[in-house]
Amino acid sequence: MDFSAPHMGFVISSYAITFVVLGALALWIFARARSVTRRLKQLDDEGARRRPTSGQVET
Amino acid sequence: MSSIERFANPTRFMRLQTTVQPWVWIITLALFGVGLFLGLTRAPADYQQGETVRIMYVHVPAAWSALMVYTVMAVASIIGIVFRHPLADIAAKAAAPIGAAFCFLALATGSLWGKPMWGTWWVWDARLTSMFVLLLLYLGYMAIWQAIDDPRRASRIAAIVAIVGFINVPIVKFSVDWWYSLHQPASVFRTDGPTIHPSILTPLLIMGLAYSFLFLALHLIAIRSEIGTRRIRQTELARTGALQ
Repeated sequence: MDFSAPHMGFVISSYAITFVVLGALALWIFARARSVTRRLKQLDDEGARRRPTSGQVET
Repeated sequence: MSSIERFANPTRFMRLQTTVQPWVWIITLALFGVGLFLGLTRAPADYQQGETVRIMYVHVPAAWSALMVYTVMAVASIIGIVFRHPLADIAAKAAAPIGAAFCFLALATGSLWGKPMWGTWWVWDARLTSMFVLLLLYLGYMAIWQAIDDPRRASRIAAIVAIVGFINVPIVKFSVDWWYSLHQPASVFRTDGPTIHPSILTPLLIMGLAYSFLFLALHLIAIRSEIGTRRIRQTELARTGALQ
């Protein structure tokens, strides 16, 4: 790749925005997963139990 | 027991996800490594566009993935409505932010490619406008889930939006054939085969696979989180006596 070629700023910006958006998306999904796991463990430690409503499939 | 019924159990899904997840990440990272290496160092510059053609390796897979993820959402929504599969609406909901991110990237990188090649950041032509409509559909779908507290009611309304909105997917795909557009016509998925030289096509297809596996990796985690969120909701409702 020739970094001195015309319009390289557009190429670099495209890869940068892709990296930032996909990185932020992954971080958000990881953070949410961690927060959910922590809360489930906390509820489990407290002995809380789930009870689905009638006719509702338990998830 | 059909495969749909077999994987209807979220606990079984979570066991499967734990086993599969590391392998999906390994394949994703390997595909990105190979795709970026070939696309940035081995593929030639275009004789007309020069180095800007390399934007294609992030722009086109993002656009393909945005369409693929919306298709996944629509199919999951149909399965949710027809078969009452308990994971279907979870899968559709978990896919939406990922698809929205891909769609945003397709528009943003397309704009960055359009400025030096077309002389403009944006035109309201059929391809760009239908892609923008796809982003609005993603945002609308996510807004429905945020606005309605009852997950069962939200899932029904969101599923209808996803299924009706699917009409936009073929419009995006064929917009360059049906209407005049600044955007180039299809050059990979054509009935008479790709019109791109293999030296450029190979990294493009590898990057397409990389985006698909990235979606799978993130989607599996997002589904797991959504299952957990619903368990938390049920537990907290049971604890406060709201289910009595």
